[in-house]
Amino acid sequence: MKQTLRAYLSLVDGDYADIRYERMERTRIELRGKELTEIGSNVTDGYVVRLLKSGGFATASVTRASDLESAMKRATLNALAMAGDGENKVGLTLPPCVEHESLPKLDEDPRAVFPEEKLALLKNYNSLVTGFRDIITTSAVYEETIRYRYFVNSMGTWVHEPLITSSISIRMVAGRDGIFQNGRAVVGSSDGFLKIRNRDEVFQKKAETVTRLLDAEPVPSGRYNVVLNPEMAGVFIHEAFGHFSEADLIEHNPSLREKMKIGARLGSGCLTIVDDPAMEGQIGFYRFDDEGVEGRRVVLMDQGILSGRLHSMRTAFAYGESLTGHAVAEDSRYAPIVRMGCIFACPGESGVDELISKAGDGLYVLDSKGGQTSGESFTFGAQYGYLIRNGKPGPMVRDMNLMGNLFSTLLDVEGVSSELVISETGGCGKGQMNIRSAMGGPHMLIRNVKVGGV
Amino acid sequence: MEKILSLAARVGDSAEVFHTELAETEIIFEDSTLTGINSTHQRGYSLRLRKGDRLGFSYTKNPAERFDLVKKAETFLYKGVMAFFTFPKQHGPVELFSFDPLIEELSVERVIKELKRVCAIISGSVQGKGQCNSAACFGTKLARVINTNGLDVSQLSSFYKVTCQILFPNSHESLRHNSSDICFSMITESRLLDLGRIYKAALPIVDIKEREMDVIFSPHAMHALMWRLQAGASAASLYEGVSRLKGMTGDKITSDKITILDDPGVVGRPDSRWFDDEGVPTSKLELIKKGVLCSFFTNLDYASKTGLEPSGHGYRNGMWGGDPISLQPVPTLSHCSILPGDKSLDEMIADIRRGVIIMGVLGAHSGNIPNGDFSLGLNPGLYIEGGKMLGRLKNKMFSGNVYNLLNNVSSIENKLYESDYGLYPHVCFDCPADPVPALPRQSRFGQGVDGKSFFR
Repeated sequence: MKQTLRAYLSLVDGDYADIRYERMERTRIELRGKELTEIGSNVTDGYVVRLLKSGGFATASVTRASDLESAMKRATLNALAMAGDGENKVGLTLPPCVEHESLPKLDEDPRAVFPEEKLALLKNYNSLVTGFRDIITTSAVYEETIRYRYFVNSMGTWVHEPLITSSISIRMVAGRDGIFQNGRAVVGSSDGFLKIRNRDEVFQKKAETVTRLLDAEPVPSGRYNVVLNPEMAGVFIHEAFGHFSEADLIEHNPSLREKMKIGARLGSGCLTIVDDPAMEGQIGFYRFDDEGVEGRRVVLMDQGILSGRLHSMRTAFAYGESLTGHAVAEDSRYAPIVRMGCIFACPGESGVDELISKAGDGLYVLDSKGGQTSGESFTFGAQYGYLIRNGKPGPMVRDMNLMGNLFSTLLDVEGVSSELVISETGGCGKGQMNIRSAMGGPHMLIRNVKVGGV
Repeated sequence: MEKILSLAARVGDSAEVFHTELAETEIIFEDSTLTGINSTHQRGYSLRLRKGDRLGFSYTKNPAERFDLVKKAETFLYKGVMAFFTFPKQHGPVELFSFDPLIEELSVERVIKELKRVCAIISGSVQGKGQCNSAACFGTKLARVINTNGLDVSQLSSFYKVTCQILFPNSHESLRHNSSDICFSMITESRLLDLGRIYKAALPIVDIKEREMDVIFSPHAMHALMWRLQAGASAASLYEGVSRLKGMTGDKITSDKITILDDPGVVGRPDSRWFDDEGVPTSKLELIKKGVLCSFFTNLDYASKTGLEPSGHGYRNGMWGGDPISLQPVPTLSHCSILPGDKSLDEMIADIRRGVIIMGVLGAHSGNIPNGDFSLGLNPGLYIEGGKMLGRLKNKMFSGNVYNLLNNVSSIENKLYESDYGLYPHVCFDCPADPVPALPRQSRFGQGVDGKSFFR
C-alpha cells in the first residue's frame, strides 16, 4: 500500500500533497426491544487527496483507485482557483517526516470474538434493561469500527495505524400512563473487548434510574448552584470551552479570536483543562492524527488562563503556533478537521460531598443527554438529577437542559473533586461524526447556572 | 447492479440492490474570505436479501466485490433478523425535472464570484458590524433501486445549494438564509438586504425579566418542534409503543391553523423524489390537516409490522449523518413543510406586544423527545416590544411541550423558507399568562407545568 500510494502521489504537482487511503470495517448488531434488527460486518473504503499549490489548499475524495487520478486533477484545479482568488494564501506547518506503523494495544481483540458471542453479550445487557416492568422499548447496539488508515505525504511520511473502537449502547424508554422517560447507557473501548464484558451493573443501574424518573418531578426552572458528575463535567468542558480551543472554529472569526488570545483569563483558578489523545486506555487514543502528525498532550487552560489550542497543519501555520496532532476525519469521505482527542478538566482536592455541601441549595446533575455550542452560548442536557437542599441531595428531578456562557460560566466554577473519569464513548458532530471524541473530568461545582425545565 | 442482483437471487427468495452516486463540490467563505474548496465523488451499493421470513443486509463501495457482498448478506440472513415485507413492483417513471445538465458546466470560479457578491452585499448592509459566512455546494446525485420483483427505478438530480449567515460578535450565532435549485441561481439582493436589516435591528442586547411572551419560531428553529412531532408520528414509534399519538388518528391534536405535510413530488426541486430508498412510490402525505392527525409515516418494514400501508418514507438516513449505503431504510420525513398562513412576517411582528422570534436553537436533541418536551437555548432570540424589534436576547432559554405549544398558534406567515430540515413559514404562538385551555386528552400531554411554555 505504501508504494502504491507513493506512486499516486508522485503524479501530483504541488507545494505539498498527501493521500489517505482508508478501509473501514464495521460490525453492527442491533436489538430493538427484543427483536434482532441487524447483525453483520461490512467494509467501505476510499481515498482522500489534499493539495497545497501557490497558496491554495483543496481536497478531493473518491471511492475507487481508478478515480484517484481525476481526484488529483480536481484538487489541483480547486487549489489553483483558490490561489487565483488571492485573498487568503494558505500555509502549512509541516511535521517531521516519519515512517510509523503500529497496532493498538488490546485486551482481547474484538475481531477475534465470534459474532454469536457479541450478540449473546448484547442480549444479556438488553435483557437486564427490558426486565424492568416500566421499560417499554430499547435500542441496544453493538458497534465495532476499525479504521485501517494508510497515509503518505510528499515529505516522505508514511503512517499506518489502525484504530479499533467497540461499544455497546442501550437507549431505553420507560413509560407509564402515557408519559415517557428515556436514558442511555454505554460501555466502550479503544483498547479491547475485555472492557465491555462484565458490565451488567451499568445497564441495570441506568434502567432503574430511567424507571424512577417516571415518578420524578420536572426540575423547577431557574438559576442553580450545580454539581456536575464527571460525565456531565466532560460534556460541559467539551461544549463550553473545547470547541473554541479548536483553532479552525475561530480562525476566521475575528471577534472570537480576539477574545480567545493565549493568556486571557477565561476560567476560575481551580480550572485546568487538558486534551491528550495519546493518553492510553481512553476511547480517543491515537498516536498519529489523519495528517500524519503525532498527537500530543496540550494544556488548554492552566488555572483559568488560556494556555493552548488544538491545531491542524493549516491552523498551526495561521496562528504561528506549534503542531498538536488534532486533525481527525470521520472516514474516507472526508478530509480531516480539528477535533478534540480526549479533553478533560484536571482533578482537584475536594470531595464530592464537600462540593454538594458547598452548593447549599442547588442541583446535582448526572449523565449527559448531549450538548451544543454556538460560540458564546452553549447548552448541555442531563439525563437526571437531584435537588440539593441545605447541602444534602434531595428528591430526584428530571428534564434538565443547562445553558451557559463561554465568558462567564467557566469563571463561576468553584470547585472540582479529586477523581478523574473519562467517557467510554465519543460522538461529537462538528461537521463530521467523531465516535472517539473522549471527554471527562471530576465532579465540578458551578455557581449560578441557568437551568431550563419543561 | 444487475450482476449483484442476479447473484443474490441465487441464494435468496428475493433481493434488492440500492445504488447511490454523489459528485459534489463545496466552496466555503468565512468572514468574506475564500477558505476552502472540497470535492467528492462517492459511490456505493447496498444489498437486502430475503429468504422466508429472514432478512440479510450488506454494503460496499466497490461493485467488483459483489461475491463478498452477497456472501455477507447471506451470512446476515442466517443470524435471525426477521422481516415480513415484500419488495415493491415496477412503477413510474414520474418526471420531476430534478436535473439540469447545466450543472455540469458550472465552474468553481463562477460560484466563487457569486459568493463574493453575496458577502459584499451583506458586509455593505451591516457596515462592518457583523461578519458574513457563505457556502455553496453543487453537483449531481443518482439514486437507483432494482429488485427481483422487476423494479428498476432511478433518478438523477442536480443541485445548487447556498447558505449565507451574518454572525453576531463573539459568536457563531447568526441570521441565515438557505436556498437551493437544480442549477446555479443568484440570491436576490433584496433578500440579502432584508437579512442585513434584521441583523442591524437585532444587534443591541436586551435584558428582559418576562417569563411568558408570544413567540415566533423561525423556519431555522422549527426542526426542534418537528423532530418531536415526527417522533410521535413515525410508524417505528407506534410499533415500539413510544408514540404519544397512538390511537389518535382523526383526533384534533393541534390548533386548526396547523397543516403539516410531506411532499417529495414538487416538480423542479433538487431534492424531489418519485420513489424512496426502497423503491416505493412517494406521494404527498398530510400528517396533520387543520389540526387533525391524519397519518403516520412508514417504510416497508414498519408498514408490515403495524399493518399500515407503505407510505414511501423509507430513507437511508441516520440521526447524525452516516454513509447512506451503510444504513437500512428507516421511516423518515424528508420533505416536510407547514402550510403557509395569511400574514406577512411584518404583520405578525406588528401584532406582538411583547415577544421573541427564535431564529435558531441550541439543544434541540437534548430533551425528552418521545414526550415532546423541549428546553432550548435561543440562538439567537430577537426581542419584540410594541410591534418593533428592539434587539436580541442573550443566554435565554425557552421550554415547553410541542403538543401544548402547537395548540396555541396565533398566526402563520404566508411564505415558506428553506431550512436544513424542511420548508417552513414563521409561526407565532401565544404564550398566555393563564394556563392554556384543556387539550384533547390533556392528561396524555400534561407535564406538570400547566401546559405552559416559558422563557428562562
